[in-house]
Amino acid sequence: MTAGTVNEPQNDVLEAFRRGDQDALRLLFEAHKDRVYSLALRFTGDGTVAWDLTQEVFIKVFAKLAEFHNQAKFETWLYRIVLNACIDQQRRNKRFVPFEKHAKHIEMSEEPPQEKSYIRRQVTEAVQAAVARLSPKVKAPILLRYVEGLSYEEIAEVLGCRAGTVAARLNRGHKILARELAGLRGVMQ
Amino acid sequence: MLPAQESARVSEHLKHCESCVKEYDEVRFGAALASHLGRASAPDGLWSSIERRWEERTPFSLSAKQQPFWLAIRRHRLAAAGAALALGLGVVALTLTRFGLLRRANRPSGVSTGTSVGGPGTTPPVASTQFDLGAYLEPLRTASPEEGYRLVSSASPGFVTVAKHEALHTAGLSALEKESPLPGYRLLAYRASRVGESRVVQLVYAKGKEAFSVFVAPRQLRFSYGKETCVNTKVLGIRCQKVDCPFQKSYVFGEGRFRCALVSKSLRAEQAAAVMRYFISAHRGSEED
Repeated sequence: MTAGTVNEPQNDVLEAFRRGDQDALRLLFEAHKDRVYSLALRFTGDGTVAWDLTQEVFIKVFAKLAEFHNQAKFETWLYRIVLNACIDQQRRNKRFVPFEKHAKHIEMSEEPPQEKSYIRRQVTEAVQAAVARLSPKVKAPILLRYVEGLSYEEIAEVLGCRAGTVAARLNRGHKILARELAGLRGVMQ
Repeated sequence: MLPAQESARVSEHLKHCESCVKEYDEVRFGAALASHLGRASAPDGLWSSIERRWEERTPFSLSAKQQPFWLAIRRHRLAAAGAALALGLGVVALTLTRFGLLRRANRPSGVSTGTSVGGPGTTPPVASTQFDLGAYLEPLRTASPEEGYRLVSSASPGFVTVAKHEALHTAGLSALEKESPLPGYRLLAYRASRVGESRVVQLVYAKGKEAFSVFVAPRQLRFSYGKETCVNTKVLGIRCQKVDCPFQKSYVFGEGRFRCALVSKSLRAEQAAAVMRYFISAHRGSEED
């Protein structure tokens, strides 16, 4: 049994699952683990929480796999499960990450070439922390766009809204990030 | 993307409108920041955790109709085979024990040497992101209170004594003035072990015939507990997880970039809370280091 392409693993895996192939779930996990973990990590800004959420999501996916009948794209279905799990988790346990300190730290850094990758990592961490603080409404399109590279239409399908709404929320997210991480302007140029 | 004509119109407008330029610049900078978010790689060890949870869950969560046929058939067979194997091993172990052949292998050998089942090297962590305390905790289940001191203060498999300042520094405690979290207790032993890329420190505190151990690990490392599981709880307002075993008082908690496991046979709730507070206060703000 093969996992199929990244876009359509569900047909093979679902068939295999129904046939009782024990490797089906593992293949499904392998095909989507980075996707699920990345979204959870960027949503929460916390690797430990992302670990737990990834487990939770896959358990949910496995449990509901029999109910999935190709009425939507598998990834769309998966994204919804991930985002719902992240939002539920955020409701249960609100966490705030102080991004200002990251920004200050980077402002103080000079830019010798050997430290470029270090600075890039610091910027990523600062952005991740700032994104984790966004409201779920703004955060979801940002993550689907920049972590998953989805088009406005695809994001709209996942979130069940119009592409115009996605554009407006992305715009809002960009502005918030720009304001909150204004201290990074010097480093980014 | 805008149509060419509209794009040209916007460009023309931006040449003259300062507030729109400012807003456009802000959006562009925000988008540039967001583009730093990319895919991250899922850590190792995730599948084994998911598989375990799924295996535990499936017999109860799937109805007979939903359950794949191989689960329904093979589980019964596996259970029967497992029971037969356990029975067989039990008989062998009983025979060996009777003739004194298993005694040393099953008992921790003391503070300065390795402990428990098989000794150092035979209980590797499940994955580089996990640190398994199972071999260390297992003997505590059946230990008498007198044995508890020896077991708790003994080295977890693979741990060796290191310089005190090194252990305290690795454990994020070098800034603290008090060397012990509880009055009357003193720092008896300080050991370290490497798990994957991480270092884990074991600190043993003792007073008379009472002792407790605290394992300090980087936050990305997860503890597992052999046969035991953990339940979420609060001890005097401190959020933590408790090892779900009535024969020990062990807790897992974390702050900043550290995760700790407090292992004891019989610490009272207020003592456990004091120990956790001590470590939490030392580790607060450590993620900014």
